[in-house]
Amino acid sequence: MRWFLIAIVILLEPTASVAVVRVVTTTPTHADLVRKVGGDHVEVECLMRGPENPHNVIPKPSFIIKLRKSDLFVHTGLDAEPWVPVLLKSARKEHLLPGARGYLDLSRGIALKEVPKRGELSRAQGDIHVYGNPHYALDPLNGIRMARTIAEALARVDADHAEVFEANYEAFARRMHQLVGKWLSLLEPHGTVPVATYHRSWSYFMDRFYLEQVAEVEPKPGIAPGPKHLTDCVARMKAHGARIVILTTFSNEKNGRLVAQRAGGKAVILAQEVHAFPEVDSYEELFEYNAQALLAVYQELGI
Amino acid sequence: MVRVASFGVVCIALLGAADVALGGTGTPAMGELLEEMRRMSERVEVLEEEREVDQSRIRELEDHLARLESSSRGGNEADAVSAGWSDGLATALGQGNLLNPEITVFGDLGGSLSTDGDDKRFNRFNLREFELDFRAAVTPWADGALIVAAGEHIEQEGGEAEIHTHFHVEEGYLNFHTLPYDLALKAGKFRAAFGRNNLLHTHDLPQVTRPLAVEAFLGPEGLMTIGGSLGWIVPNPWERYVELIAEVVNSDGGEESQIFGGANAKNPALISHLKLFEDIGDWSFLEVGGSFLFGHTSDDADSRAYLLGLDGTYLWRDPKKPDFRSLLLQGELFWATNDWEFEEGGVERNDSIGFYALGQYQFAENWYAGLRYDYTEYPNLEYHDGDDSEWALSSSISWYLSEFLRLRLEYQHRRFEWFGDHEDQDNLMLQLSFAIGAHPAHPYWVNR
Repeated sequence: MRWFLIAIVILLEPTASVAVVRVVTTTPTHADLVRKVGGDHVEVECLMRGPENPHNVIPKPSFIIKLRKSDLFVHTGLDAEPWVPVLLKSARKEHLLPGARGYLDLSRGIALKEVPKRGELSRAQGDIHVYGNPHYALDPLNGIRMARTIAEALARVDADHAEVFEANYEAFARRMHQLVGKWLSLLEPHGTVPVATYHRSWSYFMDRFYLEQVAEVEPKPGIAPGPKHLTDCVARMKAHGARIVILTTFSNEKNGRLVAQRAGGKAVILAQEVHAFPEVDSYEELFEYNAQALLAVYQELGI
Repeated sequence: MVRVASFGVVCIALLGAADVALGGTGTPAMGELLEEMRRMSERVEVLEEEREVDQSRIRELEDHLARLESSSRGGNEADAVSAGWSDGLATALGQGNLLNPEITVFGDLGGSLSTDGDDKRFNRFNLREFELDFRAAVTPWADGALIVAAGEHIEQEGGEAEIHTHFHVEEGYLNFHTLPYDLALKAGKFRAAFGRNNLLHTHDLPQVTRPLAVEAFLGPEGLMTIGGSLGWIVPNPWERYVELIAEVVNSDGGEESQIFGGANAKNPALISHLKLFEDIGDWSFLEVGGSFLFGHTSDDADSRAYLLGLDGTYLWRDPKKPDFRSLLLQGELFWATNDWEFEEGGVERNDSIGFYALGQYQFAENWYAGLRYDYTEYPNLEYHDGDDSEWALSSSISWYLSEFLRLRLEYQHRRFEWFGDHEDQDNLMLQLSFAIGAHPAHPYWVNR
């Protein structure tokens, strides 16, 4: 009887630390960063697929099952993933609700670009991001900041391994600093290159890697271009000497290539997420892929 | 600093040694040079000290920044308090609109041409519906929602047509979304969890018209009624999404009840829905559901209405171009057995079925083509014979000019088999839908 009681007490004793922190992230980029910081102490599942548009992800009921098993939910925050709030409420788990222990918004602490002023907040500006440009993960230095935020959140959920998370973060930050130096030295000799993009998703990337946006294929965010706008876009590119159009895996490739061709240049599809292409398997590889893709176009166009 | 200073000392020592080696006990030029070197060495030391001070100031600033950032992340409450500066105006001016609910207004306008010149509902422009959608959190675990609809429609009895303006509460409820034991509870007026289409508001429909069977069995705008709804995510060893919903609602079924007996009917009615969801790879899924409804058609406890529903939805998206190509297949079946009490007396038991099958293909980023077949009989014998039925074939094309603006054209062929006779009708309908205000939420299988 006594052994039985002891067994019951042991079984009912709440475990002080979780064996493995189960993390669900919205994007594959977040998933890779969590794996880097969490190491063996995390099990990560990602909801979005790499080539998908993060804005248009379908919040399927099977996501709810994944969320319900998780200790930590990681997302981009701002208004980048409008399908997240309904998903969080449908999961019916208090620890995942905004402000709770298992909720992590990675935009915290990021210096945002293109924050609209009060008077600019209107759908007359298209499907604008009301809090500012949410594609901040495309600056590798922001990636370091995100890893720092992840380390803090993981330590909150699993305090026993806080030092491991901190050490993993430090190692990642050191590696990234070196790599950023390498990418910068590869691209810097080409000077600041004027480009057009399909959507305004590359602002952080461009500011870091010597690119300047002079035109957009979309007339306004989320608005499909008509023939007149495409002509204007080509004219703007020519006026600024831009010959490259940067696309994502979910851009309207036909329009992008048409504009590039008429501007006498080339369209290039860059990776906006980890797993956007099969060969882009990590956060580092995302920038490596993009840097090499740009260098290849520079060489082809003699930039 | 130590390194630089010692470098200076070594240099001076070397120069001194060179001076001695050159045989001089110190030429004036060499003495000046040595003096200059000594001054430079001191200067370097001063600079190094200044740098040290600057570095420690930078470190201090960095620490301060880190503290500010951690407080903005809610890390340290004491820091958060010191970081916030009151301008002393907030209290005086009140909270204003800061905590107002999110508001979205949906506009849904229409126009139609019909071969049936006598039907005044066609061959005119319609203000189908304007919907005001208010939502906000009430507590950390409960949300409130109010959806008010206003519109204008034509009612025709015999040859007389009349314009009716309606303004009604479509939904108004409190939703406890995070309750213990994986439960969620809704209380108020809401769209009944019967099948798939009934949950959609008019502007969210995949076509201009609602399926005939949904109109015939649940109401022209679907079944919206007052009561409580309890949802439970059923735990299962296969880790699949299984949800069971049980609702206790009024038997009146709102203003335009079809299967129920209106305000005089005996309360309550019971509705239940079971939903199973299965992913088929990353880019498609299948969902099947079963619904059951039990209610009354009059004040008499024996006047019963039973409705059984089955629904299935399949969605495929092109893995290479998920935003550009998709296919939706959906079908629903309704089967009712109900007693109908005639105003002039007498009760009749009526069996009726209805169904629809919808296919929708997205052939470009902003374009969707749809085809739907409808068949229905009628549970409501007020205007119909037990043998009456109708079918329709509807084809539509939808164009999204943006996420918030949609144009749609629909052609419908409809055949009424009424009172032993039949009549054909061809309708061409145009629909213009838009949303203003907060980014609207929409059901996960609807276009966007």
